Order: sequence, then C-alpha cells, then structure tokens
Amino acid sequence: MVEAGLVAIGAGLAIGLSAIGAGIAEQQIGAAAVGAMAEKDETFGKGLILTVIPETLVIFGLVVAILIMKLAGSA
Amino acid sequence: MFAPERMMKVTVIGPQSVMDKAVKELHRLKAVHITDHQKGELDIGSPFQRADRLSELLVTAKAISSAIGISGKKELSNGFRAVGVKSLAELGKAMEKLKITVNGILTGNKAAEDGLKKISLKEYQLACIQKLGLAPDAFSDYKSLSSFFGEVKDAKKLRESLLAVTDKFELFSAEEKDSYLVALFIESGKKSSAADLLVSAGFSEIPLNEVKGMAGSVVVALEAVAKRKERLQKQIEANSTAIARLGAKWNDFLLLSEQLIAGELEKAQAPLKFAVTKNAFVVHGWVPGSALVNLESNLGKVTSERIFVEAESPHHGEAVPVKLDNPKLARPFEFFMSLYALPKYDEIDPTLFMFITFPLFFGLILGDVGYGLVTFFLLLWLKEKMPGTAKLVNVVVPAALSSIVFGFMFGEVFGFEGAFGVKFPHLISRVVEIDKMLLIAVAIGLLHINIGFALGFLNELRHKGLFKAFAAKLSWVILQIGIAVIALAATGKINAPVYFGASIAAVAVVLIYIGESMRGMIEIPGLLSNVLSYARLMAVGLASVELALVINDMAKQVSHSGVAGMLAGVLILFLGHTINLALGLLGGFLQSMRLHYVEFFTKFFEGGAFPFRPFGAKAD
Repeated sequence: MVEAGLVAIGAGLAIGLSAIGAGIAEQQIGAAAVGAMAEKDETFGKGLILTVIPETLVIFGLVVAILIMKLAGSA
Repeated sequence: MFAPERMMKVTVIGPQSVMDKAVKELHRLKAVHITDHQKGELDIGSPFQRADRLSELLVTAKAISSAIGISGKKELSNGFRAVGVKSLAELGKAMEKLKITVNGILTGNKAAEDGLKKISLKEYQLACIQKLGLAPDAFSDYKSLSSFFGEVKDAKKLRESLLAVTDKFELFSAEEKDSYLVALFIESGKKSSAADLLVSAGFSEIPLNEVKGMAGSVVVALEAVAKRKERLQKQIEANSTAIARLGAKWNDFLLLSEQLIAGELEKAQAPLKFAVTKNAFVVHGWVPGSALVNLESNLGKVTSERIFVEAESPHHGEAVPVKLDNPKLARPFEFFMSLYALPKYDEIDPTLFMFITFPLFFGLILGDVGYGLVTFFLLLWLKEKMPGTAKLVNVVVPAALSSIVFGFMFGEVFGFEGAFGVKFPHLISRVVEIDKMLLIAVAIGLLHINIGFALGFLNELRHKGLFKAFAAKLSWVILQIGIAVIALAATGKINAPVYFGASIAAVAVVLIYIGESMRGMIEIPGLLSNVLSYARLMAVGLASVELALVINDMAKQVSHSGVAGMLAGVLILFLGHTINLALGLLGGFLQSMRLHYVEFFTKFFEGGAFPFRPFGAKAD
C-alpha cells in the first residue's frame, strides 16, 4: 500500500514539476508574443509557435509518469 | 484545391478617352487585383474630376450619419436606384437638403442646451441668495462697501476673526450640509484684509454673474426661471424626437449612399493606381485564369474594342496575390490560413488537410456524445444570435460532429460510460486503455508528420530539384525508419543487427545536413518531441473524461441525502459539466490548432503571401 502511494507521488511529481517548468518558460515567451502581436497582427502564427514550444516538457512529464506507473505495476 | 487559384498577370492598355468606361467595367467585374504603378518612366494618373465632389459628399454623409446616430450595415444592390435617386447630382442635392435640416435642428438644440445651462446657473445663484434671505439687488456695486458671496467651512470663526479687524461689516450666513453659505458686506477700506481672512476660512466664491443688477424679489425671479427652464427642456425633447424621426426615415438612404459614394470614389480615384501617358493609360494587375476570357470580352464590349488586354503567366518566384481555391465544404477552414499566414502562390495550400485532420483531432480530444451534441446546438444558436462569429462557428461545427462520432467510439455520454448498470457499447475505453490510446495518438502523430514531410518534398521539388528536395525532406522519413529498425533489432522483434538500423539513420543524418545544413541538425532531437507532442490527443481527452467522472461521482454522493441533496447534485452536475465543456472546447480547439501550426506546418509551410483583393470588391 505504501509502495502504491510512493508510485503515485512519483508520477505526480513527474508531471507536476514539468508543468511548473513549462509554465515558467511560457510565461515570458507568452508575454513577449502578445506584445509583438499588439504591434503587428500577423505575428500571431509565429507567436503561437514560440509560446507553445516549452509545452513539450509537460508531454515528456506525462510519458515519464505513465512509464513510472507501468514499471511499478509490472515489478 | 491543393494550390491557390492560378493567376495571370494582365496589362490593360487603352486610350484615355475610354478610361472612364474601362474603370467602371473593371469595378463591376471585381476580377482584377490592380498593382499600384510606381512612378518611373510613366507618370501616375490623376483622379477623375468628380473625386473631389465625391469625397466631399462622403464626408457629409458620414457627418450626418454620426450626428443622427446611424450605424449598422445594409447590402447595396442596384446602384443609384437603391438609394432612390437617378444620378450623382440628384444624390448631392438630396444630401444637401438633409444636411440643412439636420444642421437646423442641431443648431436649435445647441442654443437650447446652452440656454438651459445658463438658466440652471441662474436658478442656483438665486436659490443661494434666497437661503440667506437677501435680494439680488443687495449685490449691486457700492462706493464704500465691498461684498463677498460664497461658502466657508465655519461662519462663527469667520465672524470672530472679522470682529478682530473691524466691526463695520454685516455677515449673513446659512448652514449647508458641511459648510456655510455666507454673504459678507464690509467697508471698502478693509477689503483686502477681509479677503485674507476669508481665504484662511476656506472661502470658495459663488459668482453671481447671472443675477447681477436684477431687481425685484427672488421668488418672482425663481418662478420665471422655472417656467423658462421647462420651456427649454421641452424644446430639447422635441429636438431629440425630431432627430430620432430623421434617423428612422433616412437610415437606409444614408447607409446605402455611403456605400454607393465610397464605391464611386474608389472608381474616381482608380487612375492613381494607373500609369498614364499623354493619351493612353496602362493598368497592371492580376486576374484569376478562369476570369480572363470574360475580362477581355467585357472590356472590349464597353469600349467598342478600343482596349488591349495582354496576359502572361507569372514568373518563377514573383510575388503573386493569393486567392485560395477549395471545395465549398472545406472553405470555412481557410479561416486557419488567414489566422496564420496565406500560403505563397507556388506553395501547397494545406486547407484541405486541415479540413480532415482538425475535426479528427478535436473529436479525439473532446470525444463525448453529450458534449458533442451540446456544442453542436450551442454553435447553431450562436450563429443565429451573433452572425459575426460565423467564421469561427463554421470551423467548429464539423469538429463538434466529429466529437459525437468519437463519443460513440469511446462509449461516453457526459463522462458516463454506462447507465443503470449497463455499459455503453464502445470500441475503446479511454479511461481504461490508456496505453492503447497513447499508441494510437503517437501513431497518428507519425502519420501526420510524415504527410507534412511529403508535402514539404513536393514544395521543395518545385524550387530546388529532386535531390535537394529529397535530402531536405524525405531524409527525415529515412531517419525514422532507421530509428525504428534500431529499436526493433534491439528488442529482437526483427532478425537484423542493430548497426544496420544505425547506418540507415547515419545516412539520413548526412542527407539532412546536405538538405537543411545546421538548422536541420539542430532540429533532429525535435523530431522526438514533435511525435510525442501528439500524446496530447490522448492526454487532454483523458483529463476531460476524468474531470467529468469526478463531477458525476460528486453529484452521486450528495444526491443520497434527501431532496436538498438531490438539488445540490443537479447543481453540481450542471455547473461541473458546463465548466468541463468550456475547458474541453478551449483545449480541443487550441491543442488541435497547435498540432497543425507547430508540428505539421513546420514540415513544409512557409506562407506570407498577400491576399487577392480585386478592384471593386468590398474589404472584409
């Protein structure tokens, strides 16, 4: 039972911390992108792409979380 | 379909004597995107004489519209007749007449409003005098006496401080909310010291300019003021009804005339885009290939064949205005292109791909019969109520339908996977078979990205030739095959040595370096994150289902405790699902859009063309 709890905490940390990291990164890029868009509407596409680049971190976190749960489940 | 509409570069040449007719016809056909002539060997044309008069009329029309508060839109159908006049001169006369009427009312109104302001001031001043029990003529000019009138904080203190200076004064005071109204009459000799004392008592003057020199009693004066005030208010009221009546009567006329005049003005100023010589004019522009024959014959007809139209295909790499050309069903999805960037003339137009994959991705994420149906009807209602949102709605409607279809596949209705002990039939359960969903998502990602590479190959093929295009784009596909072989060999799924796969991958890396140089090298690790990025198709959807399940569980738990519990349960269900649906819609839309813009488009899309805006067509 304790082990299952630890696995859950591990998986939670994997996704939670990566989400915080992505959030910190996106905060600054997003602010700059909105600034650029206010100046020039056409930068929306580029701004969006740049803003969402760090989002991949969360996906990595998710994959790691799933792996943790799977490895723990099979062990 | 997969490319913007084919354009022809046209040059229209004719004598100046038929320029007016040619301009009219070009404006009517709405087929030619005119390129502005840059002054060089040939001069820029000058606008037709009527342009001045037209701009003047346009300003008048706009001024009248704003003065009588007209706004909105009205479709202009058949020229001058729609407005109810036969010619420009007649329109000008009608407009002038209307202007005089409106100005008359507005001037009268301004006078009445000014009068009202003045009379209100007078009323206030009289009321102040009345409170002190004085008469207006008390404040006439005296030789040996100075008067002050206004408010102070404390009248008693003022009196004491004045007594210290002199006793030859008279102070009238009346208490107000948190100050005193005072009138001070003091010998002229002490005027300046009285002024100082007043300032330190926090004196603020009330000017008596409106009542100065008035004789008679305050009561009579106030009665007269009230009467006059009422009369002015009635007048202002009458004016505003008159304006409203004018607005109702002339609404259509003004809206239509504005459009009509703007159109005529555009025609009159068209020569500013032309090149002219002493006797001839030249128009450069672009016309869709399909409209060329029609353009030639119509221009010939109106000018009795005195005009010459030359057409040629655009050169390689020339900046051509882009008009997207898609089947009617896919046309709403051009919205995504206008949001991002228009494809260049010689690029593949990905609208049709988005038409297929956007609803697919959206459905995978939101996939729920209940949410899909609610979204669908919500969108229909939104389109009815707010026509401005039509562009967005048209894109999301197919997506909503797709989420209904995926809802059946997942067997989900508002997060429930079954009801009354019976499980809904489903192909795959998102909540249970997470691994399978992840695999499906990544597989879709691989397919999507490789379609992107294939499109990129086709794009590059036109510019850089077979080898360069192959090295820049298809090498990425080979790299994926190499990695797959390594993985399969390492896990013993296929009977091949690992270095076989590694050598395939190495060849691919070399090719990428040749094709895309250092930039390609940097992007190699990005390939993995690109593919994994599609995991969001599973992840965002899973999050939305889990949230729905939590809401349902919560509602179930509270609903066991009596009638109040039942009500609370219904409330939780309603609020929870509303929030979850809003989140799901936003997430589904943005995540699907992002997968296209970031993962898909970067494989092949450049964009940045300017749109085809034919002369005479209305701006969006």
